[in-house]
Amino acid sequence: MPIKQIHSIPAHVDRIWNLAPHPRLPLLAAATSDKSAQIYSLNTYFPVAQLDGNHKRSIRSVSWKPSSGLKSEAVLATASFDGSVGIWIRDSDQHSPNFGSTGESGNVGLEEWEFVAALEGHENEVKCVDWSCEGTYLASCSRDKSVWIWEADEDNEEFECLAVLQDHTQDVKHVAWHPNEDLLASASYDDTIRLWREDDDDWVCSGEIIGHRSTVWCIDFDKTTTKGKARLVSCSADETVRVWSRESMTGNTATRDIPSTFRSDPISENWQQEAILPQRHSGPIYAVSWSGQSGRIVSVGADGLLVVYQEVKTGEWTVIAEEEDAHSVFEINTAVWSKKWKSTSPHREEGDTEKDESKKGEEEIIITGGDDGNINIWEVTFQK
Amino acid sequence: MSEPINANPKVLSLDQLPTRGQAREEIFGDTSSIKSTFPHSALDDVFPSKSIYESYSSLLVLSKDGLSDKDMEMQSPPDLSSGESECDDQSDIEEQEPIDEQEIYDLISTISDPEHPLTLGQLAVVNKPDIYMVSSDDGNGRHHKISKVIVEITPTITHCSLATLIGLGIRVRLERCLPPRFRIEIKVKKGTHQSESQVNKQLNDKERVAAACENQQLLGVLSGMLATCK
Amino acid sequence: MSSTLVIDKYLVSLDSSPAEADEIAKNIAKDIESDKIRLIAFIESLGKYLTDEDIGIRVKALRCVAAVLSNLPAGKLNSRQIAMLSEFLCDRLEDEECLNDAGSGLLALCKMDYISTSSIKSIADAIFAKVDTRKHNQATRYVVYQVTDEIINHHIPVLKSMNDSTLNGFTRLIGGEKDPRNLMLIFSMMKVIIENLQIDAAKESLFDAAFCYFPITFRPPPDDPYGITSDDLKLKLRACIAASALFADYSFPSLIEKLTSSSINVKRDTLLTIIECIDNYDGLTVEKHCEEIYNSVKFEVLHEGEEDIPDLVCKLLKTLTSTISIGMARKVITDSGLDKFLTASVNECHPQITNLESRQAKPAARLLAAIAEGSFAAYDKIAETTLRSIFSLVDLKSTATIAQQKTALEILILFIESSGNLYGWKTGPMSEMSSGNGLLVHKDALFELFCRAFVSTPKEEVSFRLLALQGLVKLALLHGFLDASELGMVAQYLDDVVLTDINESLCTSALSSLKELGRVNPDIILNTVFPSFLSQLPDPEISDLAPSQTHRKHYRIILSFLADLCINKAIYEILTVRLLNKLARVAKEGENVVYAQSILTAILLVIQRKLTESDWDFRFFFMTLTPRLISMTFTASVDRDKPQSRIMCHSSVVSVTAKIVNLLVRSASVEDQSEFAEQICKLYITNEPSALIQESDRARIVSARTPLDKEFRADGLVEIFTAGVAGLRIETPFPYPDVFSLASDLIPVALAKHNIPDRLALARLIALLVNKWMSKDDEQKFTDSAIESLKTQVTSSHAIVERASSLELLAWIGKSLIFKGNRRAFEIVDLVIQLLRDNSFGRYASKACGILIADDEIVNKINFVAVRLLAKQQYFSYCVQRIVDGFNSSTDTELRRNHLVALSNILQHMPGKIVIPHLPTFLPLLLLSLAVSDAQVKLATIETITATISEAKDLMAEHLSTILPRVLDSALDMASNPPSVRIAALNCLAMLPQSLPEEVVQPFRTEVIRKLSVVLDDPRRAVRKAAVDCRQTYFAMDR
Repeated sequence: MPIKQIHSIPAHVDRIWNLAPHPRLPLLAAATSDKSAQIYSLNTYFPVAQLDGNHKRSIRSVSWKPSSGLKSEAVLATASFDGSVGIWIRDSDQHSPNFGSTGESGNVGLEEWEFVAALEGHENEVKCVDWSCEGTYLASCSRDKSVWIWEADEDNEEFECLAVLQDHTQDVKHVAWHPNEDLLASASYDDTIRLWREDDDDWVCSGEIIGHRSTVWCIDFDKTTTKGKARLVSCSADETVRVWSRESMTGNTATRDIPSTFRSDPISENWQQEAILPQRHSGPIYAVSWSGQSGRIVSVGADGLLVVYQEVKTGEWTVIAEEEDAHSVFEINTAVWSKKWKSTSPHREEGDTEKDESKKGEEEIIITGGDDGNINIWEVTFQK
Repeated sequence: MSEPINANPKVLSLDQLPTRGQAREEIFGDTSSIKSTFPHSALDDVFPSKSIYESYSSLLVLSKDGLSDKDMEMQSPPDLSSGESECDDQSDIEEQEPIDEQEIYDLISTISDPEHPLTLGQLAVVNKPDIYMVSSDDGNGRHHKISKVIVEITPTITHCSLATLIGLGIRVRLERCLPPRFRIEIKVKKGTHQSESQVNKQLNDKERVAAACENQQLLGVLSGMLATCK
Repeated sequence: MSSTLVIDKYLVSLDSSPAEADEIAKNIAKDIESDKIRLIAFIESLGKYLTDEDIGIRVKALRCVAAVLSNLPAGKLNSRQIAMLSEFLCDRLEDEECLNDAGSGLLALCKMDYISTSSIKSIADAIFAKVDTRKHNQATRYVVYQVTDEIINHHIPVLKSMNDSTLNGFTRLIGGEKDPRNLMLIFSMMKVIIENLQIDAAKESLFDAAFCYFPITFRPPPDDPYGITSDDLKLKLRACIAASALFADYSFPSLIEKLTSSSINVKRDTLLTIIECIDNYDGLTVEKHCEEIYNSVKFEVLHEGEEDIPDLVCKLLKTLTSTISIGMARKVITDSGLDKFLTASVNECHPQITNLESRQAKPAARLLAAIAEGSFAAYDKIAETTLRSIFSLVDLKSTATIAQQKTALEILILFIESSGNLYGWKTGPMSEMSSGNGLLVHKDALFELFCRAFVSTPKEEVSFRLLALQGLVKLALLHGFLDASELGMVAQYLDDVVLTDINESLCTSALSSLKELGRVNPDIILNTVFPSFLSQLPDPEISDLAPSQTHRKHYRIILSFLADLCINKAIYEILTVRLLNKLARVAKEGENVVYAQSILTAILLVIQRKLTESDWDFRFFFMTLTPRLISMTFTASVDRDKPQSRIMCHSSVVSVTAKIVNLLVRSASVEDQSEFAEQICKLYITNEPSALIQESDRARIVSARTPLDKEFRADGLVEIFTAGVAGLRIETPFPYPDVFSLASDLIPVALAKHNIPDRLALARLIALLVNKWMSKDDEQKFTDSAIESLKTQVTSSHAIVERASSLELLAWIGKSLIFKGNRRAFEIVDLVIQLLRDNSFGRYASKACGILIADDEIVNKINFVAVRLLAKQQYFSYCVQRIVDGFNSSTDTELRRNHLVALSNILQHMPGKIVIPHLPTFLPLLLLSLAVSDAQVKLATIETITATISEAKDLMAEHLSTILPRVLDSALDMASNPPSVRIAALNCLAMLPQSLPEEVVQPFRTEVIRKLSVVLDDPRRAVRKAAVDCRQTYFAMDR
């Protein structure tokens, strides 16, 4: 069996909209339909915190700030249908060694998280939020057809809006940053994907990808590309998953110090469709994720199907695993790759993660969330 | 209230709406054999054609289920109904009644139009022939459990701006009434609405539907439309 | 005592106790009457007080005079004395404080026999001249109005003689009145004045005096002293406005102006007033205004006004037409007022009627039909023009669509209805002109059109064929319209629909039309309907494959139609004869029990329905049906091998026969009953030849059988005996006075019986005997002897069969004693509750707990059984604590289950309000009962919980957190709960949001919605529906 479910976390909500594993810590954030975000430990799979009381409507997307900052490592952004983005920080003083350790009395000691900032501005539901690779920028998109770029101050309390980008003609569904460039991609109800770049502290649309025949629900960058190269995968209501790659780019960022008004060639990049992955889904595909570790891609959708693809050679992909009714008969809204923290022995200490970093290197898991309100953990056991 | 968008729509009378009437063969039951099922008639109020035992069991200590036959020489009268099942109440037999188009129609035909004191059935906005049940195995043959319901609505006039609201009402009603294994698709019937494709796309965007349901003002209108469902 | 002393006493007591003052006044009046005091002396003794300068004294003195005068007999004073007093009192009228008492005095005088016309005149003059009502309170004004009313009602000639001054005086007197009681008097006075005096000169001012009160917007005050409603006032005022045609030039314009009011009540009042005016005014006057009236009201019909306004306008137009048709029999006199009016309205409506496409067609037709209904002349003229154009629109060559034809039929039906209202329906009195019905000339066209509409349209056009049928039935109901063959055709069409059409609404409407026609000409049912219906019933002789037998409706449906058609005794008589013959043939064939049972059920159904309607003579059926059925059953029972016995003695057939016997006996008189009792006891007990058996078989029956003792061989027939005995009244003497020994003898017979129907029949029989005819001390004897022996058998005997049958009999006897209120019955109850802890026998004891108190079809007060009101209450409060203690003290699950089942068996028969007070004691058991596997127990438990929700909201709110989860589980757990239990649980859950306060139910909302999503996929449709409705109540809790 190329893929098997190793755990299921009941979140006791109607629906899980979105999941985000912390880039370095064994934490998993879940955006749910009952106006709250939940944080789970990827060691024990127990709930660590419940971020509620601030958003007036469902939370659609969550994103961890890549922790380069000294102050504290856990900063979470939450995008909500109430039109605002929330910033939450874990109170650093009660940093307990093993997250969500189950006290004897069996009830999990929940941590306190502080709601430090609310980013208002969007006219209606905010659909997605994502931190840039170093955490300098935060992007959000909404049904009001706009993509906003924010910049945070040191302790993530003051946020300044750098740009309001309104090139999309319809509801913007998803935003995602390039793993190492300050390049943003957005997917929209208008069936297109757009690329955004800062051109002399003025954000512009540097490229547009047309090809999908219906709403593009989700995009994710290839995290293994070498410097200067860029690839992204997209999934859509047209039941296809496609990989696009950047062919050429003008207005090299290196010459950025010349004021753009004088530079002859404006910033632009040309993306081509590299591949359409083998079609397995019937019905809209809601989420796609590109593993930084194995380079594999996972896709999930309304048909309750979980599909894992592997690249044979550029432009050619095969399906290495398929799981029907991954959330029984319910639709699946999100799927993300994550490092496998939870080793077989349950009582491992978080502290010694660094030590066997190397040994555990290649082990990774897929985490999915659906309309059954459950978070399922999967392990791909396919050997090349 | 502003002048209604469609002042005098064509209204069907109640007896024209499709109902799950008694099966034809029951009414014209084959009367020869004793075993045929009995249609319900005024006689049932006096003497149900069902088994006699049902009425005795609560009246006697020693009724049929009291002592097994061997304990005593029992002259039990031949039973009227054919099947001699333990629970005599006809409705208690556990046979499977699949969800069909008529059941979907019954769920949505009594939704009230946001503008008129009439139901979507009376206004022929929803019609039984425009409801399709597709079990998805004919797709790529594997997802047997999940099935699909397609409802085509016919707006009363071609530029009816309420089509989206009516479509949303139907989708919310079906999402609340059908088990999760159903995928619901609401479409405007071909050629019956100017901006047909936009309406269809919006109605079937799961996220926008969920967001709409969290908007209190819209939820109020929807609850009004669904309050008349019976 | 001298009169002055008495008067002083009167004046003093006036303030302290008015009652005493009245007493004094009465005595003075008596003394005057008996001439003990002379009137003059009385007045003189009052003299000084009457002229005292202190107004208070003067008023009291006057009150004394008034009180004495009103207590005097009418004939006491002669005209001279009255004249003297009236003159004196009239002078006092100016004295404002004295007005009230002076008025009362004058009122008394006016009622006296010998009052002269001159006194009346002087009083009237005084009132009209001197009294300014506006200055006085409503009570004083009321006295003045009473005097005026007295004069108007009894001395109108006097007022006629002073015509003008009366009119002026009166209008001035009544101006600006607000008090409802006063207004009622004013309006009735005004009507008399208008009708009797020459009002021509003062008609405008008089009209204004009345119309200023229009429209009445009075709403009675909460502490309403007089009980006068606004409708009373409206009717009185309306009568005044409509009182004289002289008002026409003022009333019609002012009323029409009021029609524009936005308030529907004002509009309704105005229309009713106009109708009354048209009714009362003469034709010529109305004619002048008819154009104006028509144009002011027509749009209410043409644009369909709200509520009943269009109907009122139709009534108005009908009255208008009939008023201006006076003097014209059948022919409209050319360019008369009527002619002009008809031509105008036809010209206006005709174009709209003939455009069948538009929505205006039907309302326009409704308008014309209302006018046509006014008179024969109007009807003929309108029918002539309008109907011809309709026929041309929808005749054979027309291309009218179904929708257009439907509108045409609707229009024609409107005209048929107005012709029926005008010329008379068969169901009502025949009007003298019905032979000349205006529609007759169009009969053939109409009949042919409706027949074609019915026959030639496709079957699925349901509402169109329904309309065609309605048209035909209305034509059939017109007096002297359709001839016999046409009526036959209509009946045939209705038959055809009822017998072959599958559409339910069409079928039911056809059946009710047949009944309507049957009530008017019963022979329709006898000659056409019955034969065709009866022929549809399968006949054993004809093989089932014969063409005539196939594709016809199931006989149970045909039989229910036949039962429905029995609208009178004669028809039912024929039906019973035909059905019994059919039954005999089915019995002879000996195959189809259900068919036989269904035939008898149809007979029973009619008796059940008609028992309450008094006009049926059930004695006839009691004397014929009862013996016929009993002898059919007994002759069949004699030789067990014959086919008849398989049918007539089958328990389900016997039980219907028994029900029929019970109903008929119950309706019989005491002497008929005692005769019947004699004969049935001969049959069942002494085995003598009984009159209930046909002459020819009597001897055979006697020799073939032995009486009701251990070897009683007529198995399965005891039920008829019990049903017969049950029907007997208590005052009917029971043929065997020694009821004690009869009951005691029947016990062994009952115990020996194994056949279920016989065991039940004997148990009920003994219960009836004990309850209805056993004397108080016989009861004691019976308790000490028979009941004791049964109790020992229950406890000591080893065989389960003996123990169970004895317990069963004990339970039934216990029930009859509990119903009768005999305390010793609770000795039986103690035994039963104690047996709940007997592990091998507890199961039966739990059933007995239910039997002891359950309402029974036979042992029931409808069969004259004594049932004390508090029986159930007593039983429940006696048992509940004992059962709970029994439950708590037993640990074995089987024993605990017995107690739960016992409790639920009792709860099933208890109305909510008896159970609720005890709920806290047995609630824990109730919840545990939900886990018991027996579906009946769960159903009873859920029903009790549902009752608690509606009747003990706070109690339920308090325990919701324990109850709701368990009820929810019963809805979810398909394995252990049949659909009926799941549905009951869902309905119970659905009640919570509506019955309990929101904050109590809110915490459970999301959990119920989420968990019930599984039930949306329940295999049974009814369960899914219940789940959908239940979740909807929780979704609706949102916001």
